[in-house]
Amino acid sequence: MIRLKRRDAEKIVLHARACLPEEACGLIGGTVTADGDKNVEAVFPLTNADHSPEHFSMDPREQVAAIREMRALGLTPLGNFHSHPETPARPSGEDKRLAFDSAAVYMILSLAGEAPVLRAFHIEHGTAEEETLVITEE
Amino acid sequence: MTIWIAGAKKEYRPGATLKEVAETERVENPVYVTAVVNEDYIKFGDFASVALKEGDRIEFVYFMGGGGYGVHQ
Repeated sequence: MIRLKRRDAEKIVLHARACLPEEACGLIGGTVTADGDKNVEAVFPLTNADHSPEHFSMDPREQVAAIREMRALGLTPLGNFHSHPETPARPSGEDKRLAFDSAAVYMILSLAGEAPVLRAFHIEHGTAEEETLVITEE
Repeated sequence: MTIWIAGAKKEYRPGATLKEVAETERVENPVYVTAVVNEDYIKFGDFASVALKEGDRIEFVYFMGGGGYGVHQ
């Protein structure tokens, strides 16, 4: 299970809307409980180096800066998020093919409908499995 | 020697290479990883030629990319 505070979910949506029509991306950091649940404690919006409405990639230097900030806050890198401005919140073939870290949570935000839809996935060996994402008030 | 990998303290033989450390740490899909040693960014192809030193701080950073292309309603 992944727990994400409402304010952090809103931060992802705000970043994604600000990046339109391009896809947006970023990293998430937090803690992992003894039973493997992941609590997101911070969201780090990054630049989509592709500046594309259909693709994204992260700048390694921005990734490292965010990871170092997480470590300074006592947090663990948990994974990433990106937006699909015009398509549903499920992994594309490219999302699955380029998911090289099976320990990461892959969040996808769709802005295709009236309301944003955020979902989380575990991706390994090209196969995506949805994870339970719980939005908490605090 | 003591080095720091992803914020954790680890012990390795003096002069251990980045390739050796990546293998020992079981870095998944290392071809798609950039290693950051202190402030130096090192691509996978150079891992074998980088000998680490006491106190080095290392992060393995995955290429992260993708996109909504090809996802249908």
